[in-house]
Amino acid sequence: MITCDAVQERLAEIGAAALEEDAALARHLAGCEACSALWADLQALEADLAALPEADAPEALVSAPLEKVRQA
Amino acid sequence: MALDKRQAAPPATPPVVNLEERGWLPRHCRGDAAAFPALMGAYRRPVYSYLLRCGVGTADRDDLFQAIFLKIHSGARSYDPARPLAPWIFTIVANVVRNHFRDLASAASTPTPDGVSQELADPQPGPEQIARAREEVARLEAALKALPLAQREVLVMVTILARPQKEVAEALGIPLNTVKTQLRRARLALVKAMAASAPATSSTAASRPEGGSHDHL
Repeated sequence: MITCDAVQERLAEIGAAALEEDAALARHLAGCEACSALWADLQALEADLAALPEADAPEALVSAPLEKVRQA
Repeated sequence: MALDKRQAAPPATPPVVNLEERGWLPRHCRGDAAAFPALMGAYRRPVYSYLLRCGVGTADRDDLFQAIFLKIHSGARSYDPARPLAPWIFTIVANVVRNHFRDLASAASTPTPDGVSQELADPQPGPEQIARAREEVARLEAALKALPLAQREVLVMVTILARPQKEVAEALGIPLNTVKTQLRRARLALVKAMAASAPATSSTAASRPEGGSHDHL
């Protein structure tokens, strides 16, 4: 007995490892439109999050605390 | 992709014990002028990215960034070099951000949406691509900002800063299982929010059958 909710929670928590660890989950995913779609969305989300532009502090922002620490 | 980490992890990303960075704060306390700049050089990006992705507005972000490094300086003697440096630093970072949002909430104001995507646009692609990419990034940023802080801080540390879950648990002072739970909730909430805010023409989860509790096996 495996439900869509259980499959989706597992996929959201550990991703592809869930498919390796649980054959019943993998079989469910292969035959379930809703869970397959959710899995595709989760993978796309993770890629989008990882691709968010990196940010760095402006130099002035870095030099200010460095100067304070030097004077301390 | 972070969701695949457990699958791909073993030889590709072995945990690196950075012994050099464990020496920075003790050296700083002994008066080594090169130690604190080395620490700032290594942590300025992850700290700034954390502030940005957790939704701290531009003006506050600058103040918090400086406050964090001054706290690292003033607390340097309490760091135990037998322990990893990153969780110690991210505990300070997370607490500063938590206090910031607590103060904002108690002042009955909300974080200002500050359009960070506009600061970070790639200058290479054409105007239409830039507009589309900005729109996507802005949608994701908006969805991130709408998450409860407890989910946002875990997601940003694990997925965006790529910190190990065990380290995140230590930094945030929560059990590893709570990290996993918050990650799951954050991902499911973001998928739902992104589907809800998607342009009408794209095929998304918005038009899909809901995942229910029915059996498929």
